[in-house]
Amino acid sequence: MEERKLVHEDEWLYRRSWLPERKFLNPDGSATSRVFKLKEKDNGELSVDVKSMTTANIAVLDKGNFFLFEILNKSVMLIKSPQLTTYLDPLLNGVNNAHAVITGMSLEDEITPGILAKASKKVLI
Amino acid sequence: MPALTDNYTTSEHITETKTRLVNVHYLIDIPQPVSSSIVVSFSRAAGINQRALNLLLLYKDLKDNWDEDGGKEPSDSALKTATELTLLLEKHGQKVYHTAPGPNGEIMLDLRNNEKNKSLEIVIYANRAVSVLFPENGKPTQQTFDFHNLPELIQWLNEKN
Repeated sequence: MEERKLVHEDEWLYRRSWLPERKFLNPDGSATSRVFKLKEKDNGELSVDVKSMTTANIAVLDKGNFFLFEILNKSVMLIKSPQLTTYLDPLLNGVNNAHAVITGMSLEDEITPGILAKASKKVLI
Repeated sequence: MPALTDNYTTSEHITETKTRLVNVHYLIDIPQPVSSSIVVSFSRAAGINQRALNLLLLYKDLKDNWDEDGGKEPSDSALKTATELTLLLEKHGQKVYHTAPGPNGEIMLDLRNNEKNKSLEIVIYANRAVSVLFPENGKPTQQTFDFHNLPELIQWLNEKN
């Protein structure tokens, strides 16, 4: 199995979230912790895109139904317990070469999603 | 009289009920409107957590895959507990800053202090609930949530550092 490449700490990461109504956002427009919460099917890897390898319009897929939030990878790497690491994880067949995953979180962890949300900001598209 | 005053409380009403008088007019082909009736209506004043309660109603309509990424629909028990908790907080004057559905069927209630520099999240799943304390400075902590812990959690949230 090919070893995955680490994403540099200076890279910005996009996180996409389904938010057809602004009501789902915090009243100040920021992300809730649920935007960065793992799902069971994620197998412990939170999907993001590396900003420098894509564009906001591509990453958002459908700006009528999704919002994008961005977070500096250095903010992710600052979390030491659990130790978070971001790996480049291009999707097969060139569907999304910018795809990456943040590893280290567990489904039981309710703290890290909140920290990531507070460190993120909404992308205006 | 002592029995009456001993049992008196001002905290029983969740929302204030207001009475309004409404004049209804019909315009017909004469110059002056004719007052046909007087309607007395009762409306509930919006409580501090009305927004959160409205959102919880909205979340009841979410189905599996609501986020187009395999998100589970909010569980009935999570919604019920979140609603009960929101009403309880309303009764005690604690505003719910926001509530949001999560991808695993959970409902999250976000409470903040007046300065918005401390927050308390209560994450409610079908069969468990977790409280997460985000202090102004220092490391956040999480613990199993129980309604009995609520007073001390609210006290932590609102106490001055």
